[in-house]
Amino acid sequence: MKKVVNRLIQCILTMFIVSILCFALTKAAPGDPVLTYVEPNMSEEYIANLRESMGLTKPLYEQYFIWLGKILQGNFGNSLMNNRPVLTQIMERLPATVILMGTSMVLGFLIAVLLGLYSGKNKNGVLDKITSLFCYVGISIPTFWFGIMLIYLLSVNLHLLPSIGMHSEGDRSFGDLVLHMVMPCAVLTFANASQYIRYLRSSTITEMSSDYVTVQTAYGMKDSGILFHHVLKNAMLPMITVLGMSLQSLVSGAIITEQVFAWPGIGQLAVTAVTQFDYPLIMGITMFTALLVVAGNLLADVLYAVFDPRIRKGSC
Amino acid sequence: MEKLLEVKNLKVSFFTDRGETKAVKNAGFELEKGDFFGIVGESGSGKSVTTKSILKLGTSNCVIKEGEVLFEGRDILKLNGKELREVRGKEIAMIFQDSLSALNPVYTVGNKMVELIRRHNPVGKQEAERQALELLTAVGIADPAKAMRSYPHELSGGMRQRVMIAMAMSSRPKILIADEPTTALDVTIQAQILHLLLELQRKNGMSIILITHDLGVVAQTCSRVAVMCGGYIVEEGTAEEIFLRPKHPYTRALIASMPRVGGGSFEQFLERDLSDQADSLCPFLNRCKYVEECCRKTLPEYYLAGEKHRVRCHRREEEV
Repeated sequence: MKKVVNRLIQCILTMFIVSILCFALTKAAPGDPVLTYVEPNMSEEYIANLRESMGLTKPLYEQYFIWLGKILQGNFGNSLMNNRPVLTQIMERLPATVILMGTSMVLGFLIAVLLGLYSGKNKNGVLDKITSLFCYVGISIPTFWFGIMLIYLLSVNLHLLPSIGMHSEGDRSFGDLVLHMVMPCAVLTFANASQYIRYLRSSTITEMSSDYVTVQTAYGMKDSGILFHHVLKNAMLPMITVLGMSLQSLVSGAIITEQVFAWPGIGQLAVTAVTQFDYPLIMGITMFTALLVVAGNLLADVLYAVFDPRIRKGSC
Repeated sequence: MEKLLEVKNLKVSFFTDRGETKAVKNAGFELEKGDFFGIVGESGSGKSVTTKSILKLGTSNCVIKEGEVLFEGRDILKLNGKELREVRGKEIAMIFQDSLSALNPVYTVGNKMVELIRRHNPVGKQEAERQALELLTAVGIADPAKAMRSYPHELSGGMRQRVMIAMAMSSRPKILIADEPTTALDVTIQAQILHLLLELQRKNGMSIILITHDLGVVAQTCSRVAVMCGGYIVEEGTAEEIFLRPKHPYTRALIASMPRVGGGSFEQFLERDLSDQADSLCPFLNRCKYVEECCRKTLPEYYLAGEKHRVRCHRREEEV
């Protein structure tokens, strides 16, 4: 229990430091928030007044604490572009990103468990070699290139799938959503699975050479039984960390992939925010993502303790 | 006495990127019902690989090139997967040196014991639990119910080795192979475990193959001993013959190198010579004090120094 409290305090500290960095970096970035409102016929005096009313003339630390105080009350401010609350905009975009990222994470994970276990067990077998090749390809090729190639092939040439967006005009059916999801989901799943398979393969290899595997063989257990009853649970432990760390991508989204497929998620929102110098939005998305990174790590630690008895009762 | 297990002409090699490593060049021995058979030898002499091969437990790069392992007349090496699993654990069980890594860290002792009992016996979960408690009591665990709920890392080394023995005993095997079972334990616990093995052997009429590099352990327990060196069994006989009338220079050197209180100079310790050596010659050639011309030409055959005391050496005279 004490450990959990300690860990929570650590998380809060981390978030605090992240908030300082986020604020400082945004302040240091080029661009002036006032310029968003400036029109050619405005007088110098008017612009100065505007600057003052936006709180930009106050000392930096004061600005920071005002901002932090508002965030703690759940107020991320309003977007400079359309003056709508940042939080509302994030929440609007959240479902699209979660659907896309969630599906590709789950699919990638399932594929990885099957192929990772299999190729770890049959190291250097034919399927292992083929899997490894695909993994290297999956890790190496940029998602935007793969996405564009898919669009070119399946949408432009073969007219099989819609290339952009989440829904067709006026069509809100589930089938339509699935059609739109196929390509971006394939791109992300391929990338995710490639990465996960590498982790699972190597942890399976390590586990397969453990003594308890030999012992179980010596006790007459089937190979498949050993794999699923003994090796799987141990080999999955490192995956907890990997999945915990990718939790934030559920929300921050695959910025590039969303851009390529014009997927209306948070990744796209972030890109728009940056190109428009929309500071409240940039900071909001950054803080939101940071929160999820911290939460993901915390969750991974908790899950580790749940699944690994050595950590639960151990000293680490 | 009834012949239970017969290992004949066993040859095992490891294949790596650097080529073939011959771990066992020629090993053969017989095990009778009720035997407590010891295999001794230095690290790398092939004793562990020999016994693992009895159950075909090698890693994927370990190949049994030749030989037969006859268990009750059937060659284990020729069994198919299902038949092999029937023998493994049920007829021949095994315990290992490192009891911590031999038990799966993420499951409780009880969980795995119940699974194991039910694999070889068609009993329900409750009956299996009852049997597990009985087995744990039989191997001298004071609070078996608590041990059942424990994870391997929560038990002491001696407790874990007792759990391993209980698991091995769960199907009442005819042969128990113990691969350095006491090496990781301190001396008091070691004595307890050896005592337990002796007791179980007597009670169940089981045969035990004990692999160790500790001659003291062999002297305390074994009725017959094989001495391995460089992939060959160089001498085999009763414990008395091996300890009191050793014939092979390697056996003698091994016995002389045993540390004794107040005695023994370090000069007697065996120096290892790992230089390459022809496969078809005596494995002790490079280290032997009594090398003769014929040693450099042919591999010695066994000669009988007693009724069942065989020695693989060219020298036959009783001289030191």
